[in-house]
Amino acid sequence: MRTGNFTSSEIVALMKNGKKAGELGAPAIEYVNECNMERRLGRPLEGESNARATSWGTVGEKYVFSLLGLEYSAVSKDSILHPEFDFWAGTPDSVCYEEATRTVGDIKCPFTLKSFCQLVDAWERGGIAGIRDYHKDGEKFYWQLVSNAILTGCDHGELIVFAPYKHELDAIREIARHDDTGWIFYADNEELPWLHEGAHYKNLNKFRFPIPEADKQALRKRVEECSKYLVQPFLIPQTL
Amino acid sequence: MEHQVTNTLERIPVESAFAINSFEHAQRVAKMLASSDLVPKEFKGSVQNVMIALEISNRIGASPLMVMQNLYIVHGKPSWSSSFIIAALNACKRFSPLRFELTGEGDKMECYAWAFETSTNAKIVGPTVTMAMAKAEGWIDKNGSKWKTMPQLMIRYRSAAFFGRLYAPEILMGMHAQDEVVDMTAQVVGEEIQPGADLENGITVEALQALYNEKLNLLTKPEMERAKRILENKEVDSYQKLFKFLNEKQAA
Repeated sequence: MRTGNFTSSEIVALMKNGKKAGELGAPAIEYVNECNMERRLGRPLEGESNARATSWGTVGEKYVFSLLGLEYSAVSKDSILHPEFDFWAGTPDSVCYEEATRTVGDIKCPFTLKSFCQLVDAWERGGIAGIRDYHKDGEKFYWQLVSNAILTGCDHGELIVFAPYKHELDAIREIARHDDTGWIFYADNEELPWLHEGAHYKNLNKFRFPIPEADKQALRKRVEECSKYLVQPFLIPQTL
Repeated sequence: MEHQVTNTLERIPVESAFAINSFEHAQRVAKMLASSDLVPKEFKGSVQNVMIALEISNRIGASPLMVMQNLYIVHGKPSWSSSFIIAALNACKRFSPLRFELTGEGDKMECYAWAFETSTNAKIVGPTVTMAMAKAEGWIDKNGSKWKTMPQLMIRYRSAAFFGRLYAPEILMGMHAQDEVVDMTAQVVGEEIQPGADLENGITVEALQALYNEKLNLLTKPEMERAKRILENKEVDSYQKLFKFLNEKQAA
């Protein structure tokens, strides 16, 4: 479902402007071209990453979900498509239902303590504006949430940033035991990121913010505009 | 703390897959076996399960492939196939090949396994298994029970398992026969899910719904709505959490 489509995690590229007002920036053009390559290939340009940071994130995400209250719902293990545009997909981690508010969440479990601290520090400096201004991936995280908010009909976004306390590592290893992430199961404590309980940084950090309707409209407009440049996807024969 | 770790490692035999000097090699072998198409599904892609099979094969002196072919994971517990138990007892050389004494028919059928102990030449007799026992233990009434369709085979298998557990527990390593585990527990055999055992961790939708109904008057409105949402949308990932939450919900 993600192959050849605009996905929330990469959609920030489409929001980059060129030198003239309203002109597509170079990253936007490159991203559209990459989507078209995937459409012609009928397969993703890059395979699934087996990098440690990725598998740590996957296992961590499962653990974090167990810490969240019943108001949080794991949306789906699969990607979801925009109800009107079949070239727009995303994989939100959670949706939180609280009275009149619906919040789409993205769980971040950085593999390095430095990344974890950079994200928390950026929020502490200025909320979501701080993350967008001071974190190297801040814009990417923001537009990913805006995109997923559109796909799920949410009005708030939430970055859930997690690093475990030392005593939580065993529970995470237990999850890893059932996944194909044996290295976490066998890893020493010092090979994994963990925090001292009671120090400055907390394990579970929930950074929630309202998503302006204007940003949703701007993203929708830009996605529609870029979709004009998408080619027809290669239909994979059933026998292959 | 460090001292304790050293002691633990020292207690593991040198030839064990978990011994410190062979662990890395065993892990590589396990990785290779786990990627093979010839290993059963419980081991395919699971380096952890293969490591355990390697350790068992090392301890009982059988080939890893043979162990994997005959080791079943039922309800998360490793168990032997009955035919493997008989083969292992026959091959251990402590006894003559296992024999069965079967008497009676239908509900009156009984069976025990016996063999000669090679060191003393004494006849060793295992516990008698009866159809009355099978009925009383509920083995016959299980869904899909083989006791209904092939009682003569099942009674022999069970006799062999009882014999092995009594006279050669070190060969079975404390594990039961696969069909024993199936008889003694309910719901899941391998990946096969019986009706009623809907989803994760043995929690059924029915059990969760029943618990929800039972605790309904203790829930606040938002709690009720959340529980209802999880059940109605079949949010499997939240079943465990909801089960725990409802279980802990007590009257104020």
